[in-house]
Amino acid sequence: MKKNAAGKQKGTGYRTQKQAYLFLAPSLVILTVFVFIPLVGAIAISLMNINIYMNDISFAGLKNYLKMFTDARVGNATFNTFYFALLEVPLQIGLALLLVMFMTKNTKVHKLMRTTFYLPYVCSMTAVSIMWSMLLNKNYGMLSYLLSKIGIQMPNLLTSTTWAMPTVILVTVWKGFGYTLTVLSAAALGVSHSLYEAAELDGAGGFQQFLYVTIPGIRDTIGFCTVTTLIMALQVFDQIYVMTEGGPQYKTETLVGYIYNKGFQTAPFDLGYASSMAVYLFLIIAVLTFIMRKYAFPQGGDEE
Amino acid sequence: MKKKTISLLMAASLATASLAGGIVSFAEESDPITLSVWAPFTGSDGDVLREIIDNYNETNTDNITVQIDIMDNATLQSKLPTAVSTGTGPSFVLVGIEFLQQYAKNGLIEDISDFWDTTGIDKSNFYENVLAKSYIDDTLYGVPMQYNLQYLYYNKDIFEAAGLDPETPPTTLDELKEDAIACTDASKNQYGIGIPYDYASYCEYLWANGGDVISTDGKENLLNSQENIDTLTWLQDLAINEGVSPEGLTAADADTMFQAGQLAMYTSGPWNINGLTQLGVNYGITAIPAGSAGAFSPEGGCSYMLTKGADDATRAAVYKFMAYWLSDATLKEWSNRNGFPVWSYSVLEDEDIKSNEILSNVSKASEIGRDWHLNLTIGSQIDSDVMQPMMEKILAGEDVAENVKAASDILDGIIAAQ
Repeated sequence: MKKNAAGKQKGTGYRTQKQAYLFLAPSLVILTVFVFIPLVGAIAISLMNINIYMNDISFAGLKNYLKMFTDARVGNATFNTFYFALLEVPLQIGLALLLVMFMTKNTKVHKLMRTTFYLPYVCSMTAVSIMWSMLLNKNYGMLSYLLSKIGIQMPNLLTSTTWAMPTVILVTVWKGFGYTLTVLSAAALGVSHSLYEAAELDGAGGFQQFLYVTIPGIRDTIGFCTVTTLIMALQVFDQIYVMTEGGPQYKTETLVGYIYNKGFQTAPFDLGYASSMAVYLFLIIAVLTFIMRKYAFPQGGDEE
Repeated sequence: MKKKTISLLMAASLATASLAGGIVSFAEESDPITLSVWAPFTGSDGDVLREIIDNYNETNTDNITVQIDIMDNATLQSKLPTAVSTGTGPSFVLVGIEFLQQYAKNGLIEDISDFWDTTGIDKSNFYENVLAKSYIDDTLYGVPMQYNLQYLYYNKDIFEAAGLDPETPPTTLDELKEDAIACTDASKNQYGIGIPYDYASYCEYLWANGGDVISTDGKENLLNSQENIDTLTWLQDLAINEGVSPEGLTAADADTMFQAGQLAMYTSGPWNINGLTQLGVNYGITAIPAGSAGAFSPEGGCSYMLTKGADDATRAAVYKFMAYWLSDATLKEWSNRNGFPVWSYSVLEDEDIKSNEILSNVSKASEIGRDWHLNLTIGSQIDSDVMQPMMEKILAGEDVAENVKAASDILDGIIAAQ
């Protein structure tokens, strides 16, 4: 009997495992075709002398990687990418958290506010960027007109070497925080009500409840949001391409922007060099994500 | 008698049948063929182009259908090379002539030197300098579609309000400066002339005083010269000290501001004519003003080019479409509706063309064309990596000589690497 039961158990286990692979197959196929193969392809291309015309392809070894060390624009782009990410991510998460504090209930007003804040997120980044560049333009923008009515001359934000990057960051936060807010408030709604009651009995005020009950309760979700926002921030491209094209004086040129520029925008369309930078960016993101997942926001699965 | 009639009838019907058969087989000879073309005509000129092509599709007797795919230039340029090398490209493309050398060198387009003989078109009917843009040495790579220079647009209303004669636009750089200062009124957010940093209008100013960027063969760096430093210092003074140009102006901003009546003058190609006329702006168009060395304006234009790997049937059909474009009726319609200068001698004789004021002014202002570096394979790189960053810094008030020197060093590197 015992033996039989054990055998049966093994049998079911094996079958479930086989079924699991069956369910995994579609995602695996998609991941292989659209992630793993391009990844390997990018690494292969980064080791070659190759341009967009695909003529005279030859093996380059590490030449493209070595070239990065002598190219000041790579250093500049790396700096700008981090500048963007280190400001954008805390701002977006911080703003979302702040607002979550005020809308932890499922009332109509809170729902309406959440929906309103979510609206920019469903718009296309290109449209949003065009809209903001028009609003913020010093020469014919609405904001500059309104400010001039009360006697304030605003700088031309998007062509100023000081203000261009902060402006792009704020526009990105404006567009993205609604998403973070939705995810965080969904998690906050899931925090057990009894915890709040207990805190209240212990004499905790609204802010203390938020700090000691809500935040620990949604810690995993904050971690998820931080990691995904960080990855998005390190890959920033569309808003910069539309709003500043990397200018003024390369002050907003990020890594993806420079990769696009070298590979597709400026002759000699060096795909090899562009790919080597793409691999470099991939490594930066991979290492940062690993560190975040391992140390800053370890999740249940990782700790085991 | 009866027999004869019957045999006659039979012969007649036979003849009819064979004639009909002949017609049928004649129609079968030209199999239907669909051509695809990519073009970066995202403005209102794209609508006109589409109309002309639709009209061709309906009226041509060769069973040719042309399908046009309009996309912005950046997209087109990044898609075309990979599309052609993987055999998924269009049958032909319509792009700026500045890409011709690069395309030919990298094997993206076909040699079409037999075009004139095949189609029987007399090439002496067209301006030689326009045709020359589509040749590399003696090999023809494209058929011109349009030709243009940069022109000086000016707002007649602003000129009049500033006490200037709206019918005498500036003809020299000194007059340009005077007029620009006269038309500037910062309190009304109104500026004398737009000097964008991201647009190749710098060429006009450099050339006017005898300077240049690079030799036409692309081998000699001419940037770091006293003429250029003087011209750019003059330009910087005009923009910053006199405040006649909005700070940090881009070419797209300049378009918008001129349309809104905030700019008294700016230089641009003829593609703005349509929009300005439709908006009812009271504007004039004239040639680029002259400096100490004369007046020059960078030549531009677009050509139809046959993509690499075209089979004989495609080549023949594309030739037919190109020939259609070169017909008087098409060229006339294009110039008339878009304000692009005429470059065909037979169209120039047309009464409608002669009586179109803007068009005659544009055509007159098109006599000072000059070949420039954008046509070189390294042209776009010079523009984006050398000239734009340099102009941006100079127009932001940084030291002229220092930045010209720095830009010249980058240019040396680009010339050496080619």
